[in-house]
Amino acid sequence: MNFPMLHIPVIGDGMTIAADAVLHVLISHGVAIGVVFFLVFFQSIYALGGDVFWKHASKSLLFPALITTTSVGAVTGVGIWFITGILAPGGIGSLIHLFFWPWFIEWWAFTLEVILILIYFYAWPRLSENHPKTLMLLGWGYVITACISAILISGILGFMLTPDGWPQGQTFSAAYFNPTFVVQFILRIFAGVCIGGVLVLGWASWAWKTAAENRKKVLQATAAIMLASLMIATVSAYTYFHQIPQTFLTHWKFSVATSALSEHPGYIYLVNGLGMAVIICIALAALFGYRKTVVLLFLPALACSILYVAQFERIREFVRGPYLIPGYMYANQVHMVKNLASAKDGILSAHTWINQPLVTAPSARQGQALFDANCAVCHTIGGINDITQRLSGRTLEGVNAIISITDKMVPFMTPFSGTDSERLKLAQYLYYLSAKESRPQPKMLTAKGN
Amino acid sequence: MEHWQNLFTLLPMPQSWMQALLFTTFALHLLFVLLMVGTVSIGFVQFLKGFSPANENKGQETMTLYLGFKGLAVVLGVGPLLILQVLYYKPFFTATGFLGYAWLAVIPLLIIAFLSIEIFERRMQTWRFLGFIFGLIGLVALLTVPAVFTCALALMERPSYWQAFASGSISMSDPFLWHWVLRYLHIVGASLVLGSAFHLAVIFRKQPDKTSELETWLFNTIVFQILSGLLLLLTVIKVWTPAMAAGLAIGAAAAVLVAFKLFRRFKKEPLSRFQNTATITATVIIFVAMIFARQSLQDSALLPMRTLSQNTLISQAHALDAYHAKALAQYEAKLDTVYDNGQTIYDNSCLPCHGDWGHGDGFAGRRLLVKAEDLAAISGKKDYIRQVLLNGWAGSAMPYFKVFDKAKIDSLEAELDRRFGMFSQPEMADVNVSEAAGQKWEMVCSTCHGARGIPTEFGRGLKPMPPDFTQFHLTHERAMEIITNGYPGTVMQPYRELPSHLRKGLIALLDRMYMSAAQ
Repeated sequence: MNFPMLHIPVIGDGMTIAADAVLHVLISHGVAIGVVFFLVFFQSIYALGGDVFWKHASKSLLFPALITTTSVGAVTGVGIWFITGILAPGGIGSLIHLFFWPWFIEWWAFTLEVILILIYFYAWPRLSENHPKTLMLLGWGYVITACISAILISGILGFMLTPDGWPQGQTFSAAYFNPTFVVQFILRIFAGVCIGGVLVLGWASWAWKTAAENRKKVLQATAAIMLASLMIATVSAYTYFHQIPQTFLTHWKFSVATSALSEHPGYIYLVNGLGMAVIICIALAALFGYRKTVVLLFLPALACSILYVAQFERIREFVRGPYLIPGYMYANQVHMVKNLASAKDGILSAHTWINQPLVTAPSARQGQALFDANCAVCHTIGGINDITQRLSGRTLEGVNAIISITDKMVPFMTPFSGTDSERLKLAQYLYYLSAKESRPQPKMLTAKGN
Repeated sequence: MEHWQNLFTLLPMPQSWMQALLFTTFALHLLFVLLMVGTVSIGFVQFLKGFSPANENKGQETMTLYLGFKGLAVVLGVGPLLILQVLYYKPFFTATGFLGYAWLAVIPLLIIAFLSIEIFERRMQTWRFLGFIFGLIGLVALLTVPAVFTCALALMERPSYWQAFASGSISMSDPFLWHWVLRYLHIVGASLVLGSAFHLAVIFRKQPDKTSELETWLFNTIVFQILSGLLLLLTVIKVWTPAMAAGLAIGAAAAVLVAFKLFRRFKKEPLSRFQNTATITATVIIFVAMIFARQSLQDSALLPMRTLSQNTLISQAHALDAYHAKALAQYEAKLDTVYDNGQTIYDNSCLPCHGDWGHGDGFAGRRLLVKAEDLAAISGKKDYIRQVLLNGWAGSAMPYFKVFDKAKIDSLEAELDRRFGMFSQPEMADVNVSEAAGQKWEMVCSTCHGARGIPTEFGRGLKPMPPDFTQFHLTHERAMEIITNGYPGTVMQPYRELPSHLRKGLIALLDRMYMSAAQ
């Protein structure tokens, strides 16, 4: 790797990206698509001759939606690039080179999206009364560009799991038009409408000051759309997962349960079933106009939405397992060809920059650099997915043997890259980190104990 | 394209187009960034001036277009970011990588800034103290971001400082630091110039009584820009290019002109509409000319790095080409291997150490001091074996396999039973347990193995610890082998001096222990 690499201690690289990405997905899908869809829809009802309360509903949602999307949604989106650029420059750099055009065109869509919503916002006072239909068209223009933006990004996201023929020719079209392209953008758009629906239900039942019968109508309309979207999203999620190659998909349960709960997969179904029940319940309660039930269920339903987003992205990111770019690059940014060559050439020589404090013991420097290059994309030392705990109790030559077969032993682990002697250095480094119990641990002798 | 290539060698369009696109998109991004920063800065100062109720608060009016500037500044930043990562990937990823956490801090800083400024704008009239606090937080956070960006850009262009920067050994006297500080000040100054020019020309155009303050702003900041620009120029004087000189000359001339016009205006009546338009045009000319000079300087520093890196990558890709077919075959084999059945799991996860026939002679286990267990020679109770699979065996190489979910472990257990009869009822010894064997066990073996075959506290402290013989069974041959020759790599010693019948008696004792515990 020619670039300096940073690994986040304690919470690890994956969690750092996930924290930002989940927030981004919630806002970019749930607010930028979902909530704005609803407010444009409400304004349209008014524009087409509906009651004036539809307009008020739309107006009071507009400012919060605008602030959330431009202040947090957009920044966290760019944030994904900032974070991956630091943590995995080789990976994100490769993807950007491969997918320059979709990203570039998506940028136009994104810019148009922001311009349209700004015009929509600034033009509201002037257009809403005198030219509501013009405003309506503007609004739908926005919703369409937001969806185009989601469509454009789906090809890139789907590629990492279903490269369908890309590794052979390494062409753009084979990569971009992968089998999950269509189903994934349908899923993202309708899941966005669902999350937006939950947020609108919460706002309409909780915060909106209006007459009871107006509230009921808004709740009912939202719930009906939400239920329909939920159905489409569920079907497309199911179809999506069935497009993923079995070799990846088979680890989905572990990705959710982790080693803490992998022997009790029943909880996954239980929690997901409950989550779905809560979301259906809030929609049904709204459909029947039970305001108080909606108020009560809002926070749980929101939590469930977050859970689903986090779970979906977790499965998607986890099960692609050893690959960052399938058939090309492993998760630790080592090219598959480089991995093969490294048995002879070594891996350390390929690193221009090594990130470690000058106080590191000379004997540990190479070990730590090898850990950073090979393992640290998923493992931390002493934090989440702690390598010292994973290897605790294993013997030195055992650790060495384990490192030599990581990709076979655990199918979502990357193979070790490096020569035999580099592997031994890494094994020694990890053994001394993890064999805490075999180090001398002087204890104060007490009269009682001895 | 049948061979392997490095994706970093792809270029989506000709290099000169990329450069032109970078210039355009960056100019657009910077325009709105400067307008946003300028708006907030001027708005905040005006708010402070109008803090006492006696004074009029002009901040609110100034902030009108902040939301739009902010939205466009963020979204337009994506374009140049994208192009930089393709065109100048090496300096970009290197410099930002060195900045590390400071680079990451841009995200929370922007969120804090944007949300705080929102509160500032909404509350500046009604709840002034709150407005002040959030305005201050927002402005400070907002002004920190260009400090990170200018540092990254300055670092990108100066590879000779990479080593020093990475090891944290840049001192106060380094020209790099001076360049960075001046560059930052110049950017903040530019935001004030553009912010005041914009408000002068657009927001307060029809309110001549309010413009004099902004004219003073514009004049002062342009003078500041001329001075800081001259100092900044000194830091890059050695590397300048003709294109940069041309851009600078035009920009500087326009700047002096605007300053001169404004200076003359202070004693006379307000600017006419024509003069107003001229001022704005001149400001735009300054902006474009200066960005052009900047881009030319940047390209001259970064293009050679790109050429060099491309050559390296292409020759590396050429060397790695030979491995492409093998890598592809590996990937295809991977797609065909699904770890959802015990057979695949055994063949991939267990076989490397335990071997084809389970004898512990796999290719990866050859150098182990504690040999992998001979699976064909053992059997055990289901729960016990499961614990071994799930938790591994401390003191040996046996890893833990919680990485497989319940169904996979179930299937693996079935496979172990199918291949090695892991859970089948073992054959019992036909000899009786002699009294001598019982005594030997009690005197010697029980120290570690415990009186009933359940390891003692001492035994459990060993690495590896002995198995629980009420749950774990060895074939008679294997047991005899271990008693006679010891267990290499563990504290189990050879007891070959014991008479054969005594050893057989001990084996029978093990059988009885295994039988004694309920299934």
